[in-house]
Amino acid sequence: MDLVTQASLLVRLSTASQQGDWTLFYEKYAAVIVSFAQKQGLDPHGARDALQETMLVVMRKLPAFTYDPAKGRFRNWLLSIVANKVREAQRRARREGHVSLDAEPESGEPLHEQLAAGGATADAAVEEAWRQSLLEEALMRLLDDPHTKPETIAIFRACALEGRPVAEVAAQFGLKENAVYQIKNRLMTRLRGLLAEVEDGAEPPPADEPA
Amino acid sequence: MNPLDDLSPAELAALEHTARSAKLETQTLIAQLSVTAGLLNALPAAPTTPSLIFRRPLTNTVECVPVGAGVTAGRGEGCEIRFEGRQEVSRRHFAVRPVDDLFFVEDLASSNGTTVEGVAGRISRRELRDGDLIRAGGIIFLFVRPEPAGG
Repeated sequence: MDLVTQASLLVRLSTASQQGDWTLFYEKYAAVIVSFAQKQGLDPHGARDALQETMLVVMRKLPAFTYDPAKGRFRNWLLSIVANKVREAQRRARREGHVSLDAEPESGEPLHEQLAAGGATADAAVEEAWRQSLLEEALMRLLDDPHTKPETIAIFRACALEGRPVAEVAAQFGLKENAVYQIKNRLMTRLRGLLAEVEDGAEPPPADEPA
Repeated sequence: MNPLDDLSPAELAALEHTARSAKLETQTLIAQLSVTAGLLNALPAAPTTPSLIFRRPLTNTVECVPVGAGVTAGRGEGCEIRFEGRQEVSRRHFAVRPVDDLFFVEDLASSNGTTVEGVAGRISRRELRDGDLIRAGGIIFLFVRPEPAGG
């Protein structure tokens, strides 16, 4: 599945999508959207609502979206949709009680305008939360890649996530320090590629392992 | 500058912890999105106003009915969405109506009940989200609420 490029998937979704394509797209971005929504203060239920509504908007608007990886537009385009749906979910979460179909607003204002504006998150904070969510997704793809040897992942985890000295990790795994450096650097390079793929459609990095 | 360059091991580890902590139930929503995509793809054009989309039993044709000031679905006369002869559907089964800027589905004391995907049990009255799937009388209704043009 990872052999499909972002660009190809977006083109297919824009033109003649199959249901499997939407599953691919969902699996690509669902965790990012949910993580972002929860960073913005939504509980899991609200985050699910934001995810559902985001997917509906994407389904409708993607045919009109022009994919241009040089401009990095897809990331920002998706973020604009997600941030809007999260704000709507935040407003719903602040609403109290149920609304009868026949209920009149207590004031002369429509119900949705009675809700507190509740500070929309500053652009920089929203951007940072989105960046973090994308990073999380890229990291999870790296760590959970079934094509990468478990020992390779373990070595990378020991160096890059646990911060253990290379000499110590090399001794644990019976490798030369240079080999450990190479594994760490190779996976970091792959992680950068995965991040680019999640953001704006770079080719997925090869999943090959040295003999 | 690559955003990974200035991340410490502790920060990377925190990213993994956060990612794994964000619980996400995927299968139900994937199935729901498959139904949604199938209904939307069957339409010649996407609706531009809040609408209910469903596949009519027997003919298997996909219909799109604007909600407007409100619609009622049922077996009986007077229902804007009518399923004449379908016994699983009550004479007046459910209604979808706008209230201010919101939309609600209300069960009209139907025999078999009305449910919304992702919500446990029968509903009596519930606010609808864009993409919600309503089930009534063995029929699935997709509620869509397109954003206003330019909004």
